[in-house]
Amino acid sequence: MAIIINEQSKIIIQGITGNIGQSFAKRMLYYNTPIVGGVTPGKGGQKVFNLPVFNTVEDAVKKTNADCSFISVRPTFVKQAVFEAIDAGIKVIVIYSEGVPLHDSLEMVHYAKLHQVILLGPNSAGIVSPEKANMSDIHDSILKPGNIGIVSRSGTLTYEVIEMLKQQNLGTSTIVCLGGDPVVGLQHYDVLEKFEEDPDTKAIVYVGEIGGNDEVFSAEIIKEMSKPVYSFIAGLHAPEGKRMGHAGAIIENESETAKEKQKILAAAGTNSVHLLSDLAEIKFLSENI
Amino acid sequence: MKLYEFEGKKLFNKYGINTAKGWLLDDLPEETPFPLIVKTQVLTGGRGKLGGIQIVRNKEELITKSEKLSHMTIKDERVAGIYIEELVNFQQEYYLSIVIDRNKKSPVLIVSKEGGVNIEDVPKENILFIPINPLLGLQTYMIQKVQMFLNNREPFISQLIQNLWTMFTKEQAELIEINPLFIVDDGYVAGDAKVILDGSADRASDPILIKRDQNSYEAKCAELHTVGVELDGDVAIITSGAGLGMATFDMVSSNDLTVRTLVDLGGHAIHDEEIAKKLITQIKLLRPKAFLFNFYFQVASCLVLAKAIEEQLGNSDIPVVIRLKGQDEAEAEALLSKYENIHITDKIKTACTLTRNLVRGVTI
Repeated sequence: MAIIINEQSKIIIQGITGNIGQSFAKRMLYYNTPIVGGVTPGKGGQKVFNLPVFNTVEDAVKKTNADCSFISVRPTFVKQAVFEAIDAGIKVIVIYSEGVPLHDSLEMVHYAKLHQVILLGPNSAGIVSPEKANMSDIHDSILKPGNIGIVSRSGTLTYEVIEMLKQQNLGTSTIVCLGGDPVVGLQHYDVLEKFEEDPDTKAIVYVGEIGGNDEVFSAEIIKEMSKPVYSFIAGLHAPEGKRMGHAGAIIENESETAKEKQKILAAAGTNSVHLLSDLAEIKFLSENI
Repeated sequence: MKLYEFEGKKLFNKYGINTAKGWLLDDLPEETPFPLIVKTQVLTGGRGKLGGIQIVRNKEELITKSEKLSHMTIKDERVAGIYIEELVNFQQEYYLSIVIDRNKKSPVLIVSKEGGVNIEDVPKENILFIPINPLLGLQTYMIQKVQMFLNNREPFISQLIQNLWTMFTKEQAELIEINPLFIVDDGYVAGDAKVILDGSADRASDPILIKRDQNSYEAKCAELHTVGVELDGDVAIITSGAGLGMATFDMVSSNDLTVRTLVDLGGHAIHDEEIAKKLITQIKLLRPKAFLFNFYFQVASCLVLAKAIEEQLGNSDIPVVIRLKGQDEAEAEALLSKYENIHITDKIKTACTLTRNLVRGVTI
């Protein structure tokens, strides 16, 4: 099963002829991700590693039945790429590009919602269901299929969680990276609902960070969930009012601090740890297998 | 990108939003009627309470007070300029703003009859919040709602809100706040201008009129496409990603260490040895007591950063702890392990303990 993407997905890359597009296409082919082609306006008819390049997303969808798109184009081109994908009928979109204007993000998020399209990002490391489909920058060689679901804003923290799980010989069902921008499409609580319904997922690792009040909404979902959720919030010691690398990681009022978020999640019934390294001490799954 | 009041008001004028007549100190004409109001230009809020705004009644007062104000520091920020305005005779003070609400994922129009005070201190029932769907934009019913809420049907209210929305979208703003909004005999005057624009966006105008400090450490990091946060502690933390950076920051702090700077390498420095070298040079200027590199690359090669570290920090007297994982990690480790001051591990926890021992001068 897994969530959002699997071996039946039909993936295209918008921006496939660029450096990032090409390197992702190469890896996807090598590790058998179901990629069916790519789009670069004006380069239709060319091939990238034998994959067809189309001028428009509409062409790509007509010829390949594509339903997922990984977008890596210049930040100011992202909005048009997303609108084009949604209008062509794409159902899952990952925006890998960083530095997308905030006003563009607002429009994309609302347009995707209107068309019930799953939008990850901007500034998302992507999504992967190991050995089924990989639309992320996480290298297939470090992945292992299993029963843990991971949802995180950050890509780099996700790599660490994967390593820790591997130490316990555990793999993942699906890993979802939401993106580090202040306004992104899918949020933690959307993903939690999907993991709860997924028979392959037995437990969830929830990685959050300072800024925004996602955890207030997540807590409501967690209270209703039957599966265990383990949470870690980065930025416990972050000073107020400073942007900590991610554009979205800034504390604007007290409810946005890591401490407050930990408290909210713990009250909802998650097993909440203070430090990243504490996750390594947790015996995932032991209590319900 | 925050704007100074003076810059914000210039933009207001461009979009037909009324302000009082005003000049920067150097541009003040010879003949001006008193009283005048002298305002320090800083990016932080709350300058009024800290004495950063003064009324002057004659030329002598103007000279002495503006001289004094221009040397002020407000919340650690040096005054960047002095802006002088004619005093406004008002009947009432309102509050008006449009801000992006990240949780609602929408711009929100905020209005209150209680202006001139901190909006956070106004009771919620006295504030009107109207979310604006970004795909639809400002609608007529919203303006009517504001007019009924304020119990003020003057057409200038409608014009002002439309102009504010046009400026918000054309200039790609994150926040435009008018507080106080003076209601005067024949209309309104924007008393202050708090404007934050999206630094990533292309916009209609170049609003910068007062020079920014381009020599600050954080500005230099931004020039190298990295994000550097300057603090006043001991350890320089450099990581491949913001999430990992915050997590490392937490682990260092829990080891009773303090942080001098947190740097997110971003997507450029990890592929470009020259950029990485320049970045390390900037960090060295902060004189941290130790460097802690924490990187785990999925796409980039560890060797690029390793070569930059070797050249900039190899055989220096500053302790360096490196936790590295990813492409070419063995080669990178081989390159760096020959230096006495460089300590390598593949565990974050070990890296943090090592850093603590080195900063404390414990022999390893």
